[in-house]
Amino acid sequence: MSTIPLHTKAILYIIFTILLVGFIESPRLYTLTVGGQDSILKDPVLAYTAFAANTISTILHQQTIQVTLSAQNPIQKIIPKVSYTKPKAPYRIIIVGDSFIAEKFGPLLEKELLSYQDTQIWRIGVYSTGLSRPDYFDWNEKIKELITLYQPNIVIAMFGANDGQDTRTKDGKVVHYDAPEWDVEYATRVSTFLHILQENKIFIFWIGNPIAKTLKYRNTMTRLNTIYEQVLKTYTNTIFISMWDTLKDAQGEYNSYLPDENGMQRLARASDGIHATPFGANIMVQTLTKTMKDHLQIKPIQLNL
Amino acid sequence: MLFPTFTFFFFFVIVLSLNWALKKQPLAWRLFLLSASYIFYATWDIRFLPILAGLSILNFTSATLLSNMRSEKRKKITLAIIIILDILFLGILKYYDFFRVSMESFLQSIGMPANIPFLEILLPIGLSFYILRAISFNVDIFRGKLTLPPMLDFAIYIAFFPQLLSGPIMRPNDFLVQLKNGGAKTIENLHYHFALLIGGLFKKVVIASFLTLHITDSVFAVPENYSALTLLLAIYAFSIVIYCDFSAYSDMAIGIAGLMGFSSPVNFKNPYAAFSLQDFWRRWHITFSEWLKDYVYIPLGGNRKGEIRKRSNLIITMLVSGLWHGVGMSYIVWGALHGIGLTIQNLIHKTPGKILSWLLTFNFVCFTWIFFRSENLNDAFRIITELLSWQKGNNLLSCSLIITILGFFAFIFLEEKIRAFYVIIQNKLSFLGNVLLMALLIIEIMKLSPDIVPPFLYFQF
Repeated sequence: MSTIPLHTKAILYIIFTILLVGFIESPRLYTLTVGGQDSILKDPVLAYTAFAANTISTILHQQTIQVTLSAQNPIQKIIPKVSYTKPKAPYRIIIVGDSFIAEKFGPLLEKELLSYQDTQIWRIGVYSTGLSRPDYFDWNEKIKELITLYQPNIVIAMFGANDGQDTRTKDGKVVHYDAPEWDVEYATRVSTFLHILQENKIFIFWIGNPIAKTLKYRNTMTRLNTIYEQVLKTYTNTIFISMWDTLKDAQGEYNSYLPDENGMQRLARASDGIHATPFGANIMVQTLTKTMKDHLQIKPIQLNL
Repeated sequence: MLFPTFTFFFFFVIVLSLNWALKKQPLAWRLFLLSASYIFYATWDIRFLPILAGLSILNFTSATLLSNMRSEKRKKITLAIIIILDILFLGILKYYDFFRVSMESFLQSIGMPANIPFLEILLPIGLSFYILRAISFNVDIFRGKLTLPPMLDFAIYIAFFPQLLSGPIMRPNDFLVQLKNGGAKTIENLHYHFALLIGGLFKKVVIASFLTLHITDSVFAVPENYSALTLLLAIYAFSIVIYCDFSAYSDMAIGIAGLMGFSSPVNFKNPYAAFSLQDFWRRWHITFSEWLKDYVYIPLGGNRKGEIRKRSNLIITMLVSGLWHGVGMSYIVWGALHGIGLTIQNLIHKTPGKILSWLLTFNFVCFTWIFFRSENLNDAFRIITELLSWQKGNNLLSCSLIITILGFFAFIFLEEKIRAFYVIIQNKLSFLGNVLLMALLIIEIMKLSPDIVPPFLYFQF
């Protein structure tokens, strides 16, 4: 080894180290790309195998995406409806979801709700998560933890931005995103989440995804929002808040800029065409809180000066 | 392509191999370096490439003119034009929308029509850094410190991928001389560069990510929801986050460049061990503060025009620093505070004891980070008010968290010694021993890392 040039040694170090890391870690770790984001050194062999398999199967299974939920929600046949009265103050509110909750919209919503009387807020936003990949992050398990910890009577949830991908059933079978049965599988996840909340007598505000810039994401968000709306209709303690129209422009199209109350065009969407800027997030917050006020007795904190 | 990702490692193995294979063919090697850098940049967004290329062509053209001009007056005008164009370019891409909204609000407030056109502007990552390199290139040509290199060499200097996105901000001559000489003939201090890579990975993926996800993001997003003690904890935690995040990137950039045969300047030297603000700025983002000194402070007159000018030059320089870092008043306030702090220190001739000096400097720096990290000026002042009023709220404090933070501080202070010790061990181990050691360290880092690793902080600048 001492006769090998140092630069060759460096290359060999890198190659052998990565191979060794992959060899040792691949049995333990699972597939890497979630929501299109690069992860850090997780499961290289499985990751690339899965990526290759996914690419090939996507090409082989290419078909028009259609929402195929039956009119009678098959899930609801299993889970009976439960009805109870809406929660009263004090409100213990958990806000959960993906990157929309982790930054911009989530914190602004938290700030807004803190300005109301009798509210206690906990916000848990986890980047790159959703309901499609419980193997990566299991929101159904997490929500049980949060309910035990914080005893909420209201949950505000927002998912979907990372959910337009293949998923796995509990027995490990892969369900491709463009397969008709994907919708049923995903609806089951949504229903399970709602059922956990319902069992604990928690009122749910479910936030739909706003219009996105690219056609691909727009189709995904439309599909998911439709699933959410259909599943939520079968529960009595839920409100679906659509953000689709909230962030559309006057022509009903996606626009990064939207007018403020003075008619000034302000940047409302981030450069990825999905997330909102603070201005756009504030529009979403106002839409949500307007609906919340219709259903709850929330009042701003009065300052006694 | 982030450095600590598998995609980058595969890219780097190929680039590293070809880099050393092509070194004996200077033209092919240079073309390869440029292509690799442009490919790296294109993985972020292919639309960034014309901006990088266009800026390179523009600045090289002006440098060529400067080199060939004889008239001092014309040279000064040409230099002024290119600097204005560079700053304008940065300003438009980075600050246009902030300017538009602020100007429209102001015009509306005085009852005037406000119809400044809005533009959907693409802001290329790394722009703030390579604009500085371009400016220093033209200034050095003007000052006669640098002879005009081939255009290809200049293009590589601007785009060199290890330093493209977040520095270190290398001086043109320092880089171009290495390029002209074909880079190093072998890798010097091989194990030191690997130590930088692994150390950088640990700092970013474990320390910075842990604190960001568990404390700083939540607390700074909604400070009114947390107790004063938690706010204090978050401030100290953020001081670790910003150091680990930024120095991790610098370390990895230096390590990667080093493995390619390029030596880079040190960018951080245990900054939180500083005994004064002056000392802090000689240890923190060293290449940037040196750039500010040579291209802002000294051209303004430095300390050669009397005490009053010296102090105002200091404050202006730090305001420029704040402005460069970000869009918003909070960055300007951050810069101003450092400017004022440096000025006050210059006025005080009798310094307190070492421990008190260190405590004051460290806590002042942490205090100013409030403005740097807060979402806006309102939030920054809210944090300060809540600290002073000792507000009650949600509490994230726990013994384990405090011990963890103290542990991270200890790591930061002992970092150089730990790295030196690691290099000694690596030097004693065989090839297989080193592979095993690095693999084990990487696996442990992976185990300690959170599921999600936030992006590098300085990418936003």
